[in-house]
Amino acid sequence: MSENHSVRKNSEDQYAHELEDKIVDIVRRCRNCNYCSMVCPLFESTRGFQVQSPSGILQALSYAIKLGEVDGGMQTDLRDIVYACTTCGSCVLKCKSSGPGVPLVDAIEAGRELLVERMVGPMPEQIEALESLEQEGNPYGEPASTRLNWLREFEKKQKLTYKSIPAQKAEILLYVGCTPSYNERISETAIAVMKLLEAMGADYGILRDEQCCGCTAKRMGEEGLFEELSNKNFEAFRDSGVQRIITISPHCYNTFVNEYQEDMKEITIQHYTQFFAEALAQKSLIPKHKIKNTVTYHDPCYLGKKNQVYEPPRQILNSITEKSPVEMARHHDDSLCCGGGGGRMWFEPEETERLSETRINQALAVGANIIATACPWCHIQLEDAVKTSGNEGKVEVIDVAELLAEAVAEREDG
Amino acid sequence: MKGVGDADISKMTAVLEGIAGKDFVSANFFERIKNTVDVYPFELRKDQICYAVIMPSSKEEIREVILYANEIKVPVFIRGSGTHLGGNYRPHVSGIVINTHRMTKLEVSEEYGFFECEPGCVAGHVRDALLELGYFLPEAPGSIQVASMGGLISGNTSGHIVDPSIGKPGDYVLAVEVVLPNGEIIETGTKGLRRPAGTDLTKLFVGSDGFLGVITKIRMRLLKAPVRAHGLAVYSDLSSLARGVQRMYQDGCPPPLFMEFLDGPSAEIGFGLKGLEPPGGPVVMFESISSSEKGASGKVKQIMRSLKKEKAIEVYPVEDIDKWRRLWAARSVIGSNLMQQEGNLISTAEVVSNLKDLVECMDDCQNFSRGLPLTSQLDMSFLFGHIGALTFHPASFIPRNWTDDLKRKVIDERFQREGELNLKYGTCGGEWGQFGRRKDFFIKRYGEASYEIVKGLKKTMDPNNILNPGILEGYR
Repeated sequence: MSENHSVRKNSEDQYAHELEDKIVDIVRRCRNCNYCSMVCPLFESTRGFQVQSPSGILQALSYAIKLGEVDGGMQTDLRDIVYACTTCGSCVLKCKSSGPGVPLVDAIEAGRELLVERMVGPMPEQIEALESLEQEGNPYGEPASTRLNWLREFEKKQKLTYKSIPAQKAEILLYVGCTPSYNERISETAIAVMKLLEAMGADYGILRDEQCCGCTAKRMGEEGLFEELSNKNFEAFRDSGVQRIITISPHCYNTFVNEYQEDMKEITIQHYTQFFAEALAQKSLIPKHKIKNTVTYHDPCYLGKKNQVYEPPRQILNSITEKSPVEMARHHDDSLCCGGGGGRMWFEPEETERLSETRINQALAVGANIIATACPWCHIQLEDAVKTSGNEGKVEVIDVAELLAEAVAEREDG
Repeated sequence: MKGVGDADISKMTAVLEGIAGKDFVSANFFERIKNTVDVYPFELRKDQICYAVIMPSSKEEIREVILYANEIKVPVFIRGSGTHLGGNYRPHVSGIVINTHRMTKLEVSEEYGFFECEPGCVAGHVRDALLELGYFLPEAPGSIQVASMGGLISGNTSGHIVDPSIGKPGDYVLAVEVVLPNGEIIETGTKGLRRPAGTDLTKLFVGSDGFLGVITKIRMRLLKAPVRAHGLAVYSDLSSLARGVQRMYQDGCPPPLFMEFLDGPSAEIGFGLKGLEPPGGPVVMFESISSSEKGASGKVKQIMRSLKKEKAIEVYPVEDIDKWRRLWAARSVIGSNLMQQEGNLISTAEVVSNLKDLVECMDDCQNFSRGLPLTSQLDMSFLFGHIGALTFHPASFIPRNWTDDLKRKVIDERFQREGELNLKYGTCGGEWGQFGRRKDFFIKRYGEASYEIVKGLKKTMDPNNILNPGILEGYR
């Protein structure tokens, strides 16, 4: 063994031990009361074994560490348990209702990091996504060079005033994100956001060489890759001189706000719903039409539960709908996760009842024919569930930005 | 069965899969651990970890598991939500765990005047479903949002409810369906609203600490949801507070449904956490019920008059329901809050007074740690409880860095002190069951002859000691 290898190995071992200490320390603060299981979408949508609940995952990690089983004979069982979590944060909110709260999701994510350190994680199906992130800056296996194809197509239809950063300077950076860049349906959301910025006459730009915010790597436990991506992005943001970043995905928003370096706090980060809700309030955007359908709003976990951004999307919808939007039985803190977070978009988790289909049924139960959401992954999950649950034609999934863009657009028929 | 090896476990798992289906049996090591641990922070011993977990969907499947366990002489442990505080569900030896999670049928029969539920129903869900129809569940444990009906009825516990107000849950249980430890399935009780006179086997299983049979269905009388009214009193000292509660009973006030108290430090923490002004002393908060608003608020006024007579600093009705909810929450968040902050274990005891000696018992509970070598070393101690039920929960926090051995010792020490005080006042715990960690107390309180009766009953009904062994023997 070379000296360099030995030094690296020792430092990796030390890091793994630090992770173990962090997990055990968090688990010690858990009373094992199981209240969290009652709000956990994983527990709700699976057979309901105890390890399919937050405190069950914590106990599994804690005992695996204490008994030296992290990379032992039961490592596959442990991996499947730890990676099943949607990381929606419902458990943390529940726990916080009786005190400062045990950071259960932090322990689970530290567990994923530990499994990656011990070469047990991630899930096999996630490896390609991580390789793509490393090589192409997106998790979808698409070439980095095609990231702006959607924009080029859009430019053919509409004259745009955006700046190409860093060659040009702009006050606002629209951080598009991977899913709107590569998913044809979700690129409609990016187009809607751009239409709105154009309508406002905003001084905005898009990074010429944008790459993933790192959220996916972090959720999969690849902290090293996350740090690499976050450092590159932070440098690009800093060098661009932008004052404000607007994100399309709540996952990018959460990553920038809560997981990037401290210096990131010097830049104002907003999810687009926050930005446009303010614009509506200041009359920088004026809706010209009202939407006649019955709309309900699905709270994305990374916007709502993680960041308490509940009202801006509702304010937007209230201002553009003829009838007030209806709330599903579960909303705000109690909203049901779509099941797509926590890296689960890249493998098929156990679901005896698909969370997204349950959500569609909840929307239908309140008579909605439009489910508005503000997250690319929720959008994909819910739209798919409309089809698989046989509800096509009854209810449609549309992003809040698309609805707003439609409401502010000039209509040819006047 | 001694020396169960991997091959035996594989065979056992295969048989269980044949009973409930492959999807509902787990031999996953971590699932087995989670079905074995409880709220106590001691590490599990490897020989405690269960062999397999099965989630049956019916009484017939439970019967098959019990018959199989008798055949191979392996213990069976029943698990609801795993929230018991008396240590009654951490198995002391390996066995098969029957988890009741899938047995969640709830049927409300308004035409009969009862509801029936399976043991895996979460009490909070049952409460909410009944409330939607205008009915009331006579259950209020702190863990109601997760506790299972099977566990609550096996313990006959109503949590915070003041017994003299509406009694115990068992008073409303019309019948139970039970799988006996020999595999027989029986139904007790009645479909009528009049419970049997004379021998009523329902009473054998309700509050049996779970070692005489597996309750697979519970039939309970429907109770109309009452109208509620609330009040609060602040005292300068705990003795006056206790005298106020004595006065309430002596004056013949209708007992409230809930009557909680917090000592000064607990009140300050709890009120602060919920954004309420610190009360400036120990508080007592209470809820009265009636069929009308006038009736409920009249009862509150009557109680207030009695409490005032014992030097209350202030006594007032709480008419703002949001304020009441915050007050109620203030008393429930203290323990969790301190534990989450410090990572220490909260350890409470359950001391019950008789009415005459309530003031003395309050004093004893304030000095709960006195003379206890380990407990007296703990620097954070609080006193709160269900004073209307004459129940005290002296609480301390055990440092996280203490060894398992020390943690066991301090908890044993506290159970022992709890027992001494309950013996002194001629009472017993009213929430957490009578066996498990309390077996020694049972013998001291009721004598060897009483214990022999229970043991004899167990032996008659469960000759192979298959069901929940250890609870009766008083494991640590």
